[in-house]
Amino acid sequence: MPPLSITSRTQEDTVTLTVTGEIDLGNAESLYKALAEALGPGAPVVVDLTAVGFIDSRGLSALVRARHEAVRAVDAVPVPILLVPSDPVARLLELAGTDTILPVYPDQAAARAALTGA
Amino acid sequence: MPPTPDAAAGRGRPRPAGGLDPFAADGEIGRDLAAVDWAATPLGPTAGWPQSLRTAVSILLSSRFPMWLAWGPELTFFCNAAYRRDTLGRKYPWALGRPAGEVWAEIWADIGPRIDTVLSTAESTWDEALLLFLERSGYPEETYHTFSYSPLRDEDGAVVGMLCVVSEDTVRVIGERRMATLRDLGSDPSVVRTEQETLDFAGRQLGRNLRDLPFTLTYLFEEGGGARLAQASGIAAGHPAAPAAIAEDGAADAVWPAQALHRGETALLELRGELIGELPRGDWSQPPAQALVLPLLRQGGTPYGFLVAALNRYRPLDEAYRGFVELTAGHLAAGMAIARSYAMQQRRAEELAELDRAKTTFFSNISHEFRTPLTLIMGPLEELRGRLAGADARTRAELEAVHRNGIRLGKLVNTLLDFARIEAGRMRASYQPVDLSAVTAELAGVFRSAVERAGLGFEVDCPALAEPVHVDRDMWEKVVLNLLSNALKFTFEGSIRVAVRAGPGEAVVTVADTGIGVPESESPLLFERFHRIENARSRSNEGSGIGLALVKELVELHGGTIAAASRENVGTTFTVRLPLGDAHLPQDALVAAGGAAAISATAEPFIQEASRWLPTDPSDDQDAAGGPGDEAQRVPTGGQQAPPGADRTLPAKILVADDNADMRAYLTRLLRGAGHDVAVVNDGVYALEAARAQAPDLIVSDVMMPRLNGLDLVAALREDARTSSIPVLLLSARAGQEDSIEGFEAGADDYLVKPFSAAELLARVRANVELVRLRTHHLRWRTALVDSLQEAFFVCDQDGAVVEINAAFTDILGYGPEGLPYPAPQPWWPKAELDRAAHERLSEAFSNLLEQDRGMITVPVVHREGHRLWISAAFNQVQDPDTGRRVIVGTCRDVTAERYAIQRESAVAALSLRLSGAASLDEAMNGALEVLRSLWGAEQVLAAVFADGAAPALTATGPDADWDRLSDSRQAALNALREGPLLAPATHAAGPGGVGVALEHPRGPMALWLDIGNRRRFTDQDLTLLSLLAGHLAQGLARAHQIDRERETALALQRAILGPSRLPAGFAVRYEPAARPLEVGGDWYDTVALSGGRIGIVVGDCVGRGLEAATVMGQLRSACRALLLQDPRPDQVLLALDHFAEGVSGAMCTTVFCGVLDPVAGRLAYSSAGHLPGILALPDGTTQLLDRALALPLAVRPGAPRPCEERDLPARSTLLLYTDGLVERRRVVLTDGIARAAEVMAQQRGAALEDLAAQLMNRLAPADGYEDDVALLLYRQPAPLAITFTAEAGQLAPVRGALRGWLEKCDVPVELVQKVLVAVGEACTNAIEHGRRRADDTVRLRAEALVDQINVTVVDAGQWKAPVPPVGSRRRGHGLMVMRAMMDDVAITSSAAGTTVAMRTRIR
Repeated sequence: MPPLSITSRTQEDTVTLTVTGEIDLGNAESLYKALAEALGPGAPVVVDLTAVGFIDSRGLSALVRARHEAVRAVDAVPVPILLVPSDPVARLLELAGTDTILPVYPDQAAARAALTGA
Repeated sequence: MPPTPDAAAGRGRPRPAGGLDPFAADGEIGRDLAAVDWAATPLGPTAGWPQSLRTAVSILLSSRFPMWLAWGPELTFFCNAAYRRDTLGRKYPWALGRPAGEVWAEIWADIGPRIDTVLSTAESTWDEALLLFLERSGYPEETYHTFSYSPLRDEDGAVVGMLCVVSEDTVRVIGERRMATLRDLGSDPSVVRTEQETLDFAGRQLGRNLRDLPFTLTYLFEEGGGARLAQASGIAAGHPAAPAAIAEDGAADAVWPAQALHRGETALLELRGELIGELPRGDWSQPPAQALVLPLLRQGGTPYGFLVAALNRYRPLDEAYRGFVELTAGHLAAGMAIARSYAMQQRRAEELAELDRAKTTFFSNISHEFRTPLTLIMGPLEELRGRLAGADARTRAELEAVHRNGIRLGKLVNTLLDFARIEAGRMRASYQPVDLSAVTAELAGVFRSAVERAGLGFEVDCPALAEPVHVDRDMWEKVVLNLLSNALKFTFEGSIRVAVRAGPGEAVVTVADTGIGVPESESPLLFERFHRIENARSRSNEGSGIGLALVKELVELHGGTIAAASRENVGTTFTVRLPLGDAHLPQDALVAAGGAAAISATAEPFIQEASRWLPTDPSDDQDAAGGPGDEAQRVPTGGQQAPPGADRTLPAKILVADDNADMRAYLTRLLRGAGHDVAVVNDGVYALEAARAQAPDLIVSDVMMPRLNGLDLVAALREDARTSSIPVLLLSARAGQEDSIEGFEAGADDYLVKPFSAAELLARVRANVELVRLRTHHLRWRTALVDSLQEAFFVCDQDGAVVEINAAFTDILGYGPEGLPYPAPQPWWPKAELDRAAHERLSEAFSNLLEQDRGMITVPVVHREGHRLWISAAFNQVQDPDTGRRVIVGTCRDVTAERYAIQRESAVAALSLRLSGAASLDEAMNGALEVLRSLWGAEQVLAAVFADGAAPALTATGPDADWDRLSDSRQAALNALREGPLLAPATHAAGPGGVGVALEHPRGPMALWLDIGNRRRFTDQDLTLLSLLAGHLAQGLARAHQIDRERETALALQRAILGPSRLPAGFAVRYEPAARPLEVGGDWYDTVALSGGRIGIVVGDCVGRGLEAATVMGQLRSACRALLLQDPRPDQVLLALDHFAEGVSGAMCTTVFCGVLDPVAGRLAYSSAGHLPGILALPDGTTQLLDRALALPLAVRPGAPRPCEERDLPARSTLLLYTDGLVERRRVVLTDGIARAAEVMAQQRGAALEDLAAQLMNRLAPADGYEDDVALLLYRQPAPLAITFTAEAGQLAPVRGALRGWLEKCDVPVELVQKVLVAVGEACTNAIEHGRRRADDTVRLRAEALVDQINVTVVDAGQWKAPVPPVGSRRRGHGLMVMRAMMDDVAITSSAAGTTVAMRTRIR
């Protein structure tokens, strides 16, 4: 099983995190850290999870915690976090009802389009 | 579509033929053949034809037999004149020179293949009566042809064509078919049927010929007009063309023209139109187009109905066809005629029988009606005769005349009644064995005086017969008296002879006279009713002509015969033959021999009548008239006796009940005249009231009365205690035994038939009154008698109170007559509080006593002095003759000694049974104590075994089986018992209310103690029994101990043989040996871990059972294991095992199923050595048998190669391997047993594997357990997943990977895989987080697939709370929510040992 890999790319004021692998207790914390780091500059973060075959509640929790950090970080003006989930991830997000705070897009292009349109 | 003949004709060009004209043989056909443009055919111009073709054509044309031939590549068609005429029809001459396939396009499908066969094989074909639909007459026609195709060869011998010789069979085939139908219709005409049966039969026959009659309908005209459908063939009821009824008016819209048919007209109808609907087609592909409708003609009347016959559209309606349908209709009409005439005859016969019954009833009634006035004539007349004894001669003569004629009238009426009874079958006879000679001689004796006075010799020759003859005495009297009377009447000189002889199996009675005889021609008429010999000289012209006819009837009722031999002026001999024995008689009419009854009053009228025929001597006129001095009157009829004068018993109080005023007055006069005190009422109700008001000594009552008749009066009297003992004398106009029986059954004391004489009445009255007075005298006798009985005697009233006992009763029970009555429950009943069982037993017996008519009971009772007794009582319900009440009379005796003997035997038997059935020493002990407890109804039974050193081992029937918890005194008592002598019971040895005994237990001395409480005494009998049982117990325990040791040995052996029973995951097994207590048998199962994760599976069955089979099994099992490890191919394993088994005694014919399972791939390779097929239950509920790769059992043919088969085991399928003990039952086919196992597998496929194994063993078990060894092995694909991992986050990914792989093997949908992964991931995460903080940080995951669900458990050593976690651990709650969302069911159990999460989801 490939270990979790997270690559970060900054492009036109947007940070894109591409996550590959499976997210569980063993690596949720590294996901959180990567996210927190990406949020640091204050630019919107697109998290591409299309290559994540598995995520559990700890992974989800990492995403939500990052979102809380984003809100606190910049004077209550949240830095947007845009998720591009795979099917398994989408299902869990939907179940947890996080789509109101963590918007979901079908692909990276759609996520970026949402940012520029906003 | 063939071209028209004109077109064909215009096509040809006449051509000069080269050489010999091949068409010369037939002028006409030859001309047309010559006209064909042969150059345009593949055959070319005739000039170029080979000789072979010319010859063939020439032969064809010259033959008178229908033929055609085909030649060349296109099979060019030729035919001759006969074929043209019979078959070709309108296709001629168009067909000539055409390809045969074109000529016979419509049947080419039939004949083409045959022709091909001829051409390719050069062999001839032969077809007989082949059905072909030819279109030779402009429509497809049903034809039958018999034909042969033979090959035609050219000069080189090659087959170039074929010749068909054909004969048409159409007329013959169809003719035979129609004949068969007509023959069937007429078959078995002897069976008379009802109208409907006739039509149904015809319908079945018509339904068998659906070719000529695709369907038929038979309508019958109704009386009120219209017609109804009575029968149909080939068409369903309710079809629009088969309306159930057709209205009378024959409306235009009626399907069938009923009115025209009613007039007898026949019609041919076209079958179309909406009314008719889609018609059935019979045997054809198209429905019929026409129907012929014909009337069912009735001779000299309107038709019965009509027949609708649908016609075969493939045949013309020619004369033959029409004739066939008409004959069919004719058959139906004839059948109707026969059925109706039979019905009419039957009605007539019934009417006649009814008339006959009416006549019999009339005779019977009118005879009854004669009797009452007769009585009122004869009664006063006798009084008059007595009173006017001194009157003048003329008065007396006239009185005698009246008297005689009265008697004669009575006789006549009785004879008529006899006839009426015989005819109505109501003649009730009572056949009793009698000395026929004596009875007959006595009857003859009655006539002696009259015969001798007539100046005739009288010979009575009746030597005693060796055996009695069964006769009804009354009837026999009539037989003999009639014959004698007849003889006397017609004999003027000579003698009369009566003789009795023994014949072969019969008694022969002859009455012979030397009288006038009858002409031979008249003899047969002698026994005819009302036949009288005209102009015969006789002593009297009187006579009804029914005497001999009655004699014949009566003799026949005895199963006998009567014959008359007569010659004119010589004499007549009547011969009566009666069979011996009683087999020929109705068994219910047999009665035991009675006393030598006197001749009844029957004789009197005969003598009276006969006497009148004889010359009168004035001096003894009175005698001859039947006065008291008459010799003939010595018979004790009592009829002529004067009423007795002073009677000791008189006067009696008599109540007379009669609705006839004359009769009342007459009876009153008679009875008062005799000095009685008479009260009179005029019906039964008044009689009842009067009797209740003041009981008379006797009631004389008529049977027939308004309001309440005599029989009901008797019944009412008997019901009432105040009147139940009043004697009743019934008077009835109805004579005959059946009536008097009815009277006696009702409870009448006596019964008198009208007419009766005054003397008879008075005699009966006196007898009855005397009887009543005698009864008090009888009572004293009875008491003395009862007391003298050896057995105890008692009488209970209907409430069960003992009202009478005798001295012996007092001796047995101690209770004397001074305590009478003893109401229930009697003082000798065992007290419920002291001995409930005995008390209940007696109560039950007592209620039986009250409910049953008779019986025998054995019950425990208590003597007045307190000791227990057993008595056996026999009782009967009887009617108290005085009160009419039901009482119970019984006798009883003391059976205590016998009872204890039996009890001892059955107790020993019960104990032995329990001991012999025990499989271990402990079981024997427990069983024995239970037997002892129930035997004495003890509270508790204790047994202490004092083995060396240790504390005594206690066994008890109830709880508290612990030595330490016994009271000190009891411990001491048990110790004392143990010290005492063996098998010597001691009461109070272990305290009050107890009894104990010491005996030898295999492990040491044993003290046995029974707590029987204070409720009953432990008698000497009980002590003896206890001692006896203790002895048996000691022996039984020794035996059980022996069995225990054997069993231990066997178990050790078994363990050695079966080896470690560690099963791989996914398996469940059951093993049940037939021979207990041994736990091994000839059956075995085995699993062997092989390389590559594969698993060897073996199930086998050695011949036989028990230890011997187990030994063989052990060797085979080990060998099989070794072989599997060496070469894991099932066929190779069995092949090698064949050789091994050869060398093992008793291994031959062992059956083995050997498989190698690859659990990863879900594949099983297997081979079976004669073993039963495995059963594979699939998730969809179907089952399959693993019945391939089957070969002979082991060692039957060593060296023969064995087959091998591979089988996929789909996800969540379950495999069952077993031995025959599971499915084999006596008298049940083995495949049924397998099917039953498969059924359970299919039903329970969703159960967990262990549950499924239990279900199989349970449901397939015979009622009384398995008879043979049973081994079964279950495997479910895939095997459950079991992972143990340390509580580290890094383990999650590999665990998830393993789980994902396993779920894929389970073949569950992708979404479900994801859900399970998430849910299990959450559980594992939680377990890791908690396990981490504990000493034991392992987590165990187990996942199991059932047929339609996945179960997963995650177990850790930590504790976590659910569902609301404390603040700070919200993640945990989140995890739980996720689990719940993903799975159908999540259960979390936490304990000190850890937490278990059990999750379940259905597979959708």
